Amino acid sequence: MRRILYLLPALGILLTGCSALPYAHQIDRTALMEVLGVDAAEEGQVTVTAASGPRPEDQEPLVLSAQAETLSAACADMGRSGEDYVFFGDVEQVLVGEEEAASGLEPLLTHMARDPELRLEAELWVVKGAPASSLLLEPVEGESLPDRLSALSRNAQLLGGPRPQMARGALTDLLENGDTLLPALERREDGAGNSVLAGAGYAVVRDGTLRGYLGEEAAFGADLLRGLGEGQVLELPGPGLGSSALKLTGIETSFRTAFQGERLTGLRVACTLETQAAERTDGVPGLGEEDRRTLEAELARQATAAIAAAMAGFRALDADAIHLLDRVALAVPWKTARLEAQWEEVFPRLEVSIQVEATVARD
Amino acid sequence: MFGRKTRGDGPVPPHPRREPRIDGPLTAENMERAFGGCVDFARRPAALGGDPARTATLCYLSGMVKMERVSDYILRPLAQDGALAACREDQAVERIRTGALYNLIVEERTTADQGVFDLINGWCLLFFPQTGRVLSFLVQTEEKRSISPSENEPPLKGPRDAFVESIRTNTSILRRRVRTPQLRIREQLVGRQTVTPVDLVWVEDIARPETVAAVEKRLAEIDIDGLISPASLEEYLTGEVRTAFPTILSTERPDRFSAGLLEGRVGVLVDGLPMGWLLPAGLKEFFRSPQDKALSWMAASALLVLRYLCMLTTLFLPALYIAAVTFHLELLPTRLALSIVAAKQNVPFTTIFEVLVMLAAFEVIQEAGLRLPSSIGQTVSILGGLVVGSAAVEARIVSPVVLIVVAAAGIAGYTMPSQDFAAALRLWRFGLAALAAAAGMFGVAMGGLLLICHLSALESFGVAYLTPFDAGGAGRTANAVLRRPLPFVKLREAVLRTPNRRNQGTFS
Repeated sequence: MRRILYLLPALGILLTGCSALPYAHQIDRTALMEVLGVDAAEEGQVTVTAASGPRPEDQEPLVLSAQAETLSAACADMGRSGEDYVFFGDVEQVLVGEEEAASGLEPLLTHMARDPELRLEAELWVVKGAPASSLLLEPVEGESLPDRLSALSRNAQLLGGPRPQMARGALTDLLENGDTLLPALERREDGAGNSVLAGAGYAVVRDGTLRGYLGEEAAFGADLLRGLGEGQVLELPGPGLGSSALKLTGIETSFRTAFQGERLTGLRVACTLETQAAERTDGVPGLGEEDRRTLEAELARQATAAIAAAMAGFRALDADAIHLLDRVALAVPWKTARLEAQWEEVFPRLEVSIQVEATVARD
Repeated sequence: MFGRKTRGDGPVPPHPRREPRIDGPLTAENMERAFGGCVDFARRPAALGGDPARTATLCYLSGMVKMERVSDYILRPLAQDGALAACREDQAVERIRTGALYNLIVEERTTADQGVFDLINGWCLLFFPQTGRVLSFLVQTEEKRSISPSENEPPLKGPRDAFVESIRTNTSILRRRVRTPQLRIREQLVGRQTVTPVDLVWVEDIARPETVAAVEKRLAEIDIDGLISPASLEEYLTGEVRTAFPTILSTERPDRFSAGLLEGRVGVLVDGLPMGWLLPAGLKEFFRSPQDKALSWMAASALLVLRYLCMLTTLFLPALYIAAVTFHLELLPTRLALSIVAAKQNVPFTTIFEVLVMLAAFEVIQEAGLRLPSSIGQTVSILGGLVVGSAAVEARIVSPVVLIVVAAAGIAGYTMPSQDFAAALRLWRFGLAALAAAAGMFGVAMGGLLLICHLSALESFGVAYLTPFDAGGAGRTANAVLRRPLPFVKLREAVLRTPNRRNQGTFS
């Protein structure tokens, strides 16, 4: 009788699914991967490359690569090749090669949503003009790829550059809108001839596939259209022969629509920029009224050009990657349904007028 | 597990109570026979009024009586009062009983049992051979430890007295603090061999009569050989032996005991034990310290919250560490995980083994420190904690992170005002760590669930142990976790069901 009493709770635990206990791993025998690279390979396969962060006792970061039909299989293959258990739960940056991005992000995002280790909070980057593995397998000496990517992500607001996008945000955008913007990366040479990893504008993704890129000017315009960029320092020519640094302290972008009958025919973008003079190189103390007007005019010109470039890029790629429809609809909420019905058709041919009002506050 | 008969022991033998304990009449010879061979038993003749023909026999236990009292208040008047020799013996007995001797308390005894226990309790017996009557005089010695501050509940601000081993001293301390004539003290003798006086203390019209009756009944039912250790009382009185958690609150401090009586609780004092017990007692009582009412309500509330957090820390930290590091790395921020990996390099043992062994080592060091004299105990703690600990880390036998986790859990446990409660937490900490080692967070969750189920099944004299966390609502739960300003606490706890709930007048 007593044995039966002991057996009953044991059966209760086993039959209710509680037997699927997690597996133990020794943390010191675990490779904590921080960056994942995904590239398209031949014959429809996918190459996954993963790099760990700094390792104890000055060991080189571990970089593993595997190729398989699916992402899951490739990740599992990486675990089989080494002595340590490969853990992807610490992956904070996911790099997608250009070819893989062009063939579609859906498998990657689906894998990230379903995998128990990978997190949707990881940031997605598209490697412009190269496979992701090129950054992971050929690191620049003295550069830690995870740290560099984290720095790019953290500093985007202050120093300018493409804003980071989490996998969760990209997935939501694609499910809701079909389009999204992902930050792009490239390796380039700096002024001293060193190879550095730097932001390269935005990758425009439509229906889950890479359609093209927005360059740095258009990327700035895309940020202004979204009301982003506060805190960023801009360098402008003038006044005189020198140049000035302005810090963006306020951005407000609003939209006005023009209808002919029931049809949307035009869009007016009004952007107000507030800046503060931070530095000027000509050595003249203070900022006179004339200088201020000159800088305001230059800033307005650059911002107008940036917004125009962004709009041109979006229309050329036929991708409303910044959810412009939602922003425009806020201006005329009673016409939201009408806008939604015709947006895809009119967006590529939409006449856009841009008005930028820039103010430079005296320091 | 407990109370079950094992196969090899056979039937439990009977344990009849022998009544009366001493056969035969109450005579000096019978008393001598009862204490046969006892070196402290003394017997001497005493001439009434100095007449050698009229003698009585005095019996006492040396060490239990104060010799000056026997000599000055009994033997001297007996010898010097000529009237005692001039009258008949029965008249002399009456004369003595009504005040010829100077002793404060005198009783006439008729049975051998009464005589025996009087001798044990520091009385002396005067036997009159012609009439066969026996008078008993209270001449007990008052040698006892002086009242000193409590070592286990050190007072920082407030009264510095603590209970001592003498029950009568303890009741006098209480009387001086709770001066109401409604303070009731009822005594029972517990223990067949120790015959220990146990006093039941309560305030009439405040304590719930049913609770008083229940405690009294439970005390009366205790039929044991000896009441020597606190556990002898606690386990029999509460009846909860299948738990490590205390369901009765013990304190060495009369101020806390008195406050408990005024809250409507029933107190128990035991002769020979320098502490008092209060009941009913729920979980929240074990987080409260007498110091809480000496500090401002804000500071006391902050400390209370801290104690609850420390309880969670001491209970769950080692288990959570095992679960996170061994099963659920995703719980750890990357930088923390990397730090743990770096600290764990070249340590040959698994994390589970490390934590469990370090927890055991922590208990060993603590136990060794307690069993030794305080000066050596401190040295052992320093040697064990610092020297051996740091040496083990340097030798890569133990990860420094594990050392920090175990030490943090251990130190958090020391914030518990009740040692009994802290001991229960230590025991459960092992269990939770073992469950975490087996099943990660699932094990920790199951352990936590088991703990809640276990606590919710406990009760203390009709009061659920988890009150007011069980169904008390947010307000009552907040009151348990925080200390409200005393002028706002106008009612005694509803759960104690006191006849008079109001505890103060209107405060403006």
